[in-house]
Amino acid sequence: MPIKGNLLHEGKAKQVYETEKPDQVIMDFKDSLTAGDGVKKGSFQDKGRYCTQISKLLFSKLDESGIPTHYLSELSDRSLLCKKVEILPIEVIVRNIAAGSFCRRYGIKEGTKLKEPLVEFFLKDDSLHDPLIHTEAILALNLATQLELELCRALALKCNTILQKIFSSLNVKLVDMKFEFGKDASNALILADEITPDTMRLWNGEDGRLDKDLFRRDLGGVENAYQKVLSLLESAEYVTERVDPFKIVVEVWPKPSVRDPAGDVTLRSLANLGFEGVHKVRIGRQIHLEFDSQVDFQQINRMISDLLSNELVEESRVRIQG
Amino acid sequence: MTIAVLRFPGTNNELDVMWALKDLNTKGELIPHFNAKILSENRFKGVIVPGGFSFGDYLRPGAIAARTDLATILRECSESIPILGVCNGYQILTEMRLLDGVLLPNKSTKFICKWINLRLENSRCKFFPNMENKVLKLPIAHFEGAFEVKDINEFSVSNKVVFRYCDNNGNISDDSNPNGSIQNIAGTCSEDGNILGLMPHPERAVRHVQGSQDGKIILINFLRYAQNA
Repeated sequence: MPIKGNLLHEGKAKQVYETEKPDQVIMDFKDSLTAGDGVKKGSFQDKGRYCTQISKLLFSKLDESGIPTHYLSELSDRSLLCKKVEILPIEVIVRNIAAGSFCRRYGIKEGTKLKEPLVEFFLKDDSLHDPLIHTEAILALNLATQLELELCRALALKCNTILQKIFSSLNVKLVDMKFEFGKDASNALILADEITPDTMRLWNGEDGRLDKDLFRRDLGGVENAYQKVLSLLESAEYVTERVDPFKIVVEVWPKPSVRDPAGDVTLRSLANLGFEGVHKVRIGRQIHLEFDSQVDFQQINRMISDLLSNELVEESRVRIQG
Repeated sequence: MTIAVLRFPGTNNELDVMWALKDLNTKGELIPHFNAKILSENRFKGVIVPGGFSFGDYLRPGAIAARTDLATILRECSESIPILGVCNGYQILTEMRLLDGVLLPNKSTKFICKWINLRLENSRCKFFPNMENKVLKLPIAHFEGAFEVKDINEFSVSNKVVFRYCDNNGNISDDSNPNGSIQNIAGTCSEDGNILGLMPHPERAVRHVQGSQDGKIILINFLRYAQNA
């Protein structure tokens, strides 16, 4: 049993403690419930337990499906052992159906189905009320790298697909959800935080909300809703499906100082066809890699330097396609 | 004395090499890539990596061959016996980083198959003592033969340039450069002078009927060094 050390961090719904291992933490779920950046406060008994159990269940399912998560094991009915991560200061929201701030922002009727799942990024900062943040701003402020953002997006969409399958088998609509990602001891980006009705909107039938909106909007029945989500998940018989492979694209092209005869003749051919204005053509190649599960970027970098690119004459870049 | 002649899928000069070795009264032994361990048997006095299109030139010429088990054993051999890489064999040796630089597509973007002249430079290659400025006539046949190296100034004073493309009289000029190779470089050697790679084909210039016998000079000197090393 891990030894609970100093309190590292206390949030609105959780406490995070050190353990004797530098790369592990204990996450205790509290019974408190907040809304509006902590302005509205409440609690109910066993809320911490429900959220612990729901998180445990969903993290396990995601893990089995090939999504890297921080969840390691259950310590008690309201305490999880997790990998220690350095959390990115960004909340990643995936929306399937319009609700909440999205409706206010764009004047959309709640319940409007989106054409395809939408990924939004929010800055994690209560004092600023967690504002929507543009990816360009994330890069400009150096909050994450381009690659980390692409990976956040890909992971969030894959999590959404898996969670959607789980909830649809329970006749529950997964409206939207919030994910947080962090870097573990090996610098790999993994899913962290929690997955609970605090962080997801779940609709059961026409107007049966099963999430924190009941508290936010004083609709009542919060406790029953959380309990119902847990009992649905516990009773469900669903098969784990592997997540779609991670598609990584390695682009390799000749360095500017290196002559590229293929580009030169293509340029001449374009001119022969009457296309004007192009003054340079450089031709490289794309290498598409598919991974079954967690993507190790250090390994990809080794693949590039050991084989995929001749770094003497070529430059390369890694992109995440999905 | 037995010389190991490597054969990867797509190698197609290995029989030319075997034929040339036979003409020079030397035993060659073909070593297929799927039976790489033969090369580790310690009974070879030298290794020739012939030309061709190993692994279909996929990714980059020589890139895949350079990451095979046979290449791993070749790397171990390179510490004790001399190695000669011809054309795609040269590309394999550069991909293995046993030789500096890289062979890029020809400036013309064409596959070039023709006779060229080659001048022996004053180099650290151990196969050709006191032979600098000798001019040899050999054929080339390649698509990627334009040598490029990280720092040409540093490289050109390292005495690793063994051959340059030249005219009949041994003059080095752009006109005598068939493929856009930097400073007309046609062949280079390793730091210890024990490994040589060149784009032209000595094994195709052994008999009078082939149009030149200058390839013999390269092979004989390589074999002489291998015999005595």
